[in-house]
Amino acid sequence: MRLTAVVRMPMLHKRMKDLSWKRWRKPGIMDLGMEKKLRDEGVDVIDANQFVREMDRNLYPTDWRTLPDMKPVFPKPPAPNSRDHPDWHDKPVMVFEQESFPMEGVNQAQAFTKSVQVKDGLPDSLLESCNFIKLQNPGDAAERIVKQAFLWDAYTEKLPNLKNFDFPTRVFRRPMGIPARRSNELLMRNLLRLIEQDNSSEALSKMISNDEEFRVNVKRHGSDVQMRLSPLMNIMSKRPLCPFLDSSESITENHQIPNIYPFLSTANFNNQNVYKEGDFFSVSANSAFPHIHTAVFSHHIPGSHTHIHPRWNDDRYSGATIMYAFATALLGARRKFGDNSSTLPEPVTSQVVHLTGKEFQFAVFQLNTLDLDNDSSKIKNIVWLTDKINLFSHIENKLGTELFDGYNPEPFKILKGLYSSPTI
Amino acid sequence: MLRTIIVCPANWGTHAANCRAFRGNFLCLRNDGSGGRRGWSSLPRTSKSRFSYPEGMVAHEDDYLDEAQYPEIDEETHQFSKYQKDKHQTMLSWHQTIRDQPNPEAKTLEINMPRGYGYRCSILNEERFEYASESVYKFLTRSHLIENELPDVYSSPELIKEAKHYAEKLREPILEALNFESNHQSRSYDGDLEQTTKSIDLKRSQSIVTQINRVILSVLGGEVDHLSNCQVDLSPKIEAFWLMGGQQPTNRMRESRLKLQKSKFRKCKKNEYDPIETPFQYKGSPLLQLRCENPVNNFVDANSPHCTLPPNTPLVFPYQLSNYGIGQVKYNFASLVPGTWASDNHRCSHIAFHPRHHLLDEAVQSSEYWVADRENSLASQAILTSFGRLLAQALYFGFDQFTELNYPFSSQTIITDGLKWTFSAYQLNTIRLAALHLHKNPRQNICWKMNSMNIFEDAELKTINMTTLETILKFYLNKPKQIAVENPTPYLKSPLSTWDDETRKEIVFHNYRDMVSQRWYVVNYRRRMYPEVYEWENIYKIRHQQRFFEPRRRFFELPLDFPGRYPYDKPYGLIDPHFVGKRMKFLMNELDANKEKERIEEAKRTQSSVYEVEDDPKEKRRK
Repeated sequence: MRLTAVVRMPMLHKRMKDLSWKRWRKPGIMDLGMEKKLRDEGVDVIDANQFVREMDRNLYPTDWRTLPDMKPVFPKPPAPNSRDHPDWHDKPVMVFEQESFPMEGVNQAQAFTKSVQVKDGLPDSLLESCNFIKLQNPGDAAERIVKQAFLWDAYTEKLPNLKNFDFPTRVFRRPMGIPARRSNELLMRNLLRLIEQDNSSEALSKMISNDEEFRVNVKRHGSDVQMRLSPLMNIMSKRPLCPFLDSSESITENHQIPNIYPFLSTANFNNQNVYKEGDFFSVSANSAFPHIHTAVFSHHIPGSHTHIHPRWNDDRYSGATIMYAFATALLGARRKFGDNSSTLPEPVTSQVVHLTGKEFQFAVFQLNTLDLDNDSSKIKNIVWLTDKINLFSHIENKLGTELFDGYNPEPFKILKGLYSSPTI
Repeated sequence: MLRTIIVCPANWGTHAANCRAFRGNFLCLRNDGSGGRRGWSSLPRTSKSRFSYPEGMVAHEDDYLDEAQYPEIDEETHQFSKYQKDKHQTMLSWHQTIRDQPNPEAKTLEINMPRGYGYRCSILNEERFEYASESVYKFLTRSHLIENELPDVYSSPELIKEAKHYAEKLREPILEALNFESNHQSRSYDGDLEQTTKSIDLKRSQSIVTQINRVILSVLGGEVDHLSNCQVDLSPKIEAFWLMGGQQPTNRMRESRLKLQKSKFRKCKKNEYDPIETPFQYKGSPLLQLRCENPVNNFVDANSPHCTLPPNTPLVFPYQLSNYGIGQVKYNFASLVPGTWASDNHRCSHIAFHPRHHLLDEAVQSSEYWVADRENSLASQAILTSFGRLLAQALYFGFDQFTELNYPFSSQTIITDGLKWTFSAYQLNTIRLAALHLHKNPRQNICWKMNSMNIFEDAELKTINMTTLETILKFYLNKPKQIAVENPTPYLKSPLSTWDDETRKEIVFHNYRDMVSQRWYVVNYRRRMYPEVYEWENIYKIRHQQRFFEPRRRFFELPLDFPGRYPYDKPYGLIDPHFVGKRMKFLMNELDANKEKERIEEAKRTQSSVYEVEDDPKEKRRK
């Protein structure tokens, strides 16, 4: 690291004055001995001055101050949250993003989505198919994939700083390693590869898309709510998923939607004036695989540790999972029945995987109604939710010794079950 | 008049005696008994007659033979001075220590040990390939390029039959995948002002390649053994380091050589135009990589004439490399990583997919000649990436750069943006490219490269070109083979995780990871500031001695070979991972003490609250 260049940078004008002798010195022509060499080779060497005209001084202006300002103009990114922003609207919307969470956890999410949990865990038909699965590849291959994602990948990056809350001024040695997004992507892609190897005909009827962001709008308690989410990857299919239950009232009759009074179910969503109008999903409806079969969400916020902050407790994490599942189902409904439909002729289903890397949570959402604000209608949505399931108990490279224990094949089994759940 | 006497150690050389600061004021002696420079010593020289026998030794007739038997003369070293011989010997012993290290981590650590600030490397990457730079990359990796041709393996009838079978099966799924990618609405990066056409092309090709790989592996993965057990990396980190001899000296180096030849005290033994050796660091990341346990079967036999250098090949590259855009120099620790750490068993790269986004670079697009030169730059990309990957792979098999390979390594490379596909195959026969070995090394590496092919036959993007698809499948179906050598890793003794000595293991691991991730430059650059001659010092102290009255304390003012004269040559200092500073220890103890105090006080409070109820009435009375 040479500091001089850095130090000199802000004071260049002064230095230029000091080094004026260097700037105005007479440039000389270097003698490289080429002329002699060429003559020896038998090449005719002619003085270049024979062909050079003397420069007409009048052609070029010497007064630099008369020249127009030639500064290049670059497009400036608009300032965030300013009225000059092209996406500024006077009427704000409430935004639910990847970083926000339902404050009251599962209860708030259920109140927002007007959904009930008919039973604990996943639907019976799905569980049956999961139990029926026999892993052709032994756990060895899956374990190797886990190790690759968390131990063996050689990519290193600066990770967010560590903090000791008893001793907040202490500066820890900066951790470096594989960032969460990268390891989660490696893990999911390779686990899906294992699943697809076993059943290739099913794999060819699906498609995996990555780098997609989507947004959906919904009205709740009289105000507009926009859900802007960026899943890690989506498993796309040609036809939408089959519903797991009927949409009749009798099934959900005995189950109550939780009440979180005095809060509204939109509590702690941010009001924002800068937003884009309308729904958006980058996979077009004309595509051969227009429907989201299963969406995978990775729980991380790039460049920070806030996702492992204690405010993200298990309850709020599960609430976020329900919100994600609702958003993907809503997107599917809009794609299927048009943008302005408030009533659904048939239910729409979505499946969601929400992972931190170590922990997996699965959810299935069946959207029976979109009349969220109307309390008189008795049709409710249904959600099935698992607990957080650990993929392993511990993984670490502790100064040269690799520690890996407690591998649990259950998340892989459930993932396989979700992958093969039928479409219409 | 003598004022002081300094006794120098033997390895200082005579420079200390001759330097400006010492002359006239000091008397220098060397403690090896040779008496220093003639005429300056007051001690008598201990000389012996040249032909006399040592004491007590008598000549005998049996000692003589009819023909004189002289010791063997090493052509390389017999003209060396003592200094040069010593230097040569230290270099050889350094190579031996690297070879003796039991695992790749320790080997990399040993390569880095002589340089505390890292090597001053030319960085090679895939951001841009200069116009007509193919010859340079051929020279840097010593590879022979066979154009528009693939090895014989790919024309074997079995492989062709298999590829045709799967191509029919996969034609429609791949067409669907390509259509799916092209039918997208705007992506998240499309409206980003910071993105360029180059970076967008890189992302697009990444997503297309992952789609195609997914489709192919979902069909082949269940049916082909080596593909069901392979590992798939997404944009892995691949780095390789090597020393390359046989380069033209830079102008500055030639000038300094001329100056040193004229100087009075230090004679330069080197000619003005003698070739030089510099380090190179390749840093790349393919879009996707498949790794297997066994390497790809070698395309050509190791003893075939292709693998030897043709006679009368010039060993020195005729031009300076800066003419080809290879001048970017950076301090860098040597790192050799083929995408994973060494504990992964799947260490052989089977296929790697690379992007061709460098063709959309602004500088490339600005010149029509450069744009037309694209096949040339794709060839240089194929050579560079394959060599770098295989060099790092060779280290994981125990072969460092100063040890010759016992058997060749092979790999396959595909360069693509999703529509245009360039296939190449590479066989690594030699890695001894340092100046010491370059002239004695008769071997060369081989690269086969096809011209780029379209995946679509027509302009409407509706029918797939079957020859392209079949070639892709042939690359996938090419079976890896176990290395047919008795001991494939003769220089690997024990992996790091099996070491019994815990402290040594931890130190090696900690320092290795620091070096390979370039931690000192990324995180803590102020600690690793390279010693610098400031510009005012260059003007007023070195060029024009205007400050003769100041004490000479800076490192460049010290006499030659004086301790502290060359701070930039200091070796690497190993770091103890468990070290905690004195101040930090004190603070942590204080923290613990405070906590304990609080605990005691809390306990007291809980106890006193019990007493308080009893004592309360008394206190009330007092008040």
